[in-house]
Amino acid sequence: MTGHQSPDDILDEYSRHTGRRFLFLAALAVAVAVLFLVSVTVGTRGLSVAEVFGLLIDHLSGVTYDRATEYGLWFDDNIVWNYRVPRAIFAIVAGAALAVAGAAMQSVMKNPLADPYTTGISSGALLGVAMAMVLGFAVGGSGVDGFGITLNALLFSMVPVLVIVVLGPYINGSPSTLILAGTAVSYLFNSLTSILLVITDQATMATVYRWQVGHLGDLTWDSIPLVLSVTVVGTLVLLALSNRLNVMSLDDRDARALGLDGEGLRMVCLVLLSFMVATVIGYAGVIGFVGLVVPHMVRMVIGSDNRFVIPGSVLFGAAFLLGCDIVSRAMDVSELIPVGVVTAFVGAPVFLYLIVRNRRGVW
Amino acid sequence: MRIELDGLTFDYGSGNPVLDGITLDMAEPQVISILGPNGVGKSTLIHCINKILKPTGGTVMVDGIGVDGYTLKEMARKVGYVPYSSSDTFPLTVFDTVLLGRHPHAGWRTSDEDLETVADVLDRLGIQDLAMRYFDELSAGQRQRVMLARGLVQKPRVIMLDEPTSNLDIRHQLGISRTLKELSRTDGIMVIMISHDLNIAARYSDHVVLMHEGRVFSVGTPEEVLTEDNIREVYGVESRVIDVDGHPYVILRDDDADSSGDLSVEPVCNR
Repeated sequence: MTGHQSPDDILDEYSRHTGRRFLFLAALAVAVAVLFLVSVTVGTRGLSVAEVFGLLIDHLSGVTYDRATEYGLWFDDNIVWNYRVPRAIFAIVAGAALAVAGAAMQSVMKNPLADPYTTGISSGALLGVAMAMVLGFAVGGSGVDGFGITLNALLFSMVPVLVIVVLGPYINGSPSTLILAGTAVSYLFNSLTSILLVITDQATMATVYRWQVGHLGDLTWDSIPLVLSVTVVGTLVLLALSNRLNVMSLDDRDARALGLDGEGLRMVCLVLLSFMVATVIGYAGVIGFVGLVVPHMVRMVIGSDNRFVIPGSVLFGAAFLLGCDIVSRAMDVSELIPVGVVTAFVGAPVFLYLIVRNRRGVW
Repeated sequence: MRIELDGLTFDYGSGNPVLDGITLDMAEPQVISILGPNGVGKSTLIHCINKILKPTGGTVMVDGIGVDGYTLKEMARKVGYVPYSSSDTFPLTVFDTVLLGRHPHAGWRTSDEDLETVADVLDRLGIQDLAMRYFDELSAGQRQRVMLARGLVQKPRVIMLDEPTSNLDIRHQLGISRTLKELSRTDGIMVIMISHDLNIAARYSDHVVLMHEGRVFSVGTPEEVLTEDNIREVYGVESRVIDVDGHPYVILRDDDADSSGDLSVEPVCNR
């Protein structure tokens, strides 16, 4: 720095800094759009890029095909429009939901290792899914098909949150101990899930296994509305809270001195986040590492200000999961490799790299 | 601005009170230092004033109203707080760190007024060059100024600081202390600081509160409070208090130090 900076100079510099952060968000948005287009061109049916885009544009402009006379086109349109497009949209929404949930959770728990896994929310949701599939037990009586599985996931994901809420006042202060409590609950749930897997038949076990790892097959337009609405609402709430999340990242006492009751807001956020995560798990299973790694990668580029980390995580999470899904299908078009394997395969080394490099002491 | 404590008690639920009936009346812009040994309840005392902790007994009045009558946000607009240290788990830039202090005034979005207030305070404290640096990259002295800036953008009438000069080199100790004194004079802010440095407290304070075993042992001007007898009674330390330029100056004595015997080897420390 040369010379004396006036307050106006500081404001100029700050607005340039803010501009750079917006630029990063814009670049991410472009990346999501590009990956979406790439995603719909990948699949078992060997359609060329031009064919896929032709079909997409035709469909959007209202062209329909008669099944009897134009079977080939009808079939391709069906593949692209009813399978590839919803799958890509789901990947965008789920990636956004998981990443933003991780980002917010890390802030409210003041712990860089917080994510749906470490707080037990994933294990709870998974147990709900396993119970629905193995025992045929689903809340609300809507059956194992339809919303039954999702509702189960939601209900059981609330158990660790409840444990955190109930035990919170008795656990001495530190939110880190809440994570340990969450981990304890998740071990308990995982063992219950294992018991269910032992008593069930091979086919069900294979299905539950796909849920355990996280997969994006079998998704249709029907899978979109609930996840999309929960994610949009949750994200908007978190965006509105982003200033408070910054204050929450401080010590609880500091937050109080700045006029914020951390305990109350933490519980509100945890319930909201478990809703978002459980809905995703109800459709796609436990896709790991998105919530843990994506927010840290965003922080490495634009710093830890939640006003930018929240939208950044939404966009980067969407791009990350879309990208991983493309890789999983590019490696094996018959979809034997669930996307959760790829997110872990990419996420774990990235996580290690972040720990080793640890620039700026993000943790 | 007036802060009145009457029979204030606090305990962490263990039955033996940390604060055991504190009665104090503090008013008008000035610098007040709270002194006393480790664990005597100095931090607990200031935490009871700005609602970080809820007193177990007695009353705390800020501007004539009991603290229960304030929301956390209202309190944060009256009383600023500079903690002993701040977390840097998720470090922000200095500008954004200071911006957090605008929370008690902020709506859902950051306003231009918030940004201008931050820029002005950074300029005022002479840390404008640090604005875009990350908080965790700063030295202890720089961090202390940033935390002070965060407290000041709250635009409080009272600012409370928990050991603002600990961890600082002598130049920064004097710098921060001088800034605090100026704030009380030019901005009309009441500055309440916890200190372990008797001489800094003596040099810069208008009043000194000396605490002992959860109670107020002595209150008054530095000359009245910082006496050899009081220091012996409260800290169990022998001292000599002399007058330097009209301020008491405490020289610590340790007559037993030399009786610990000679080293059996010849120590080496050269260059």
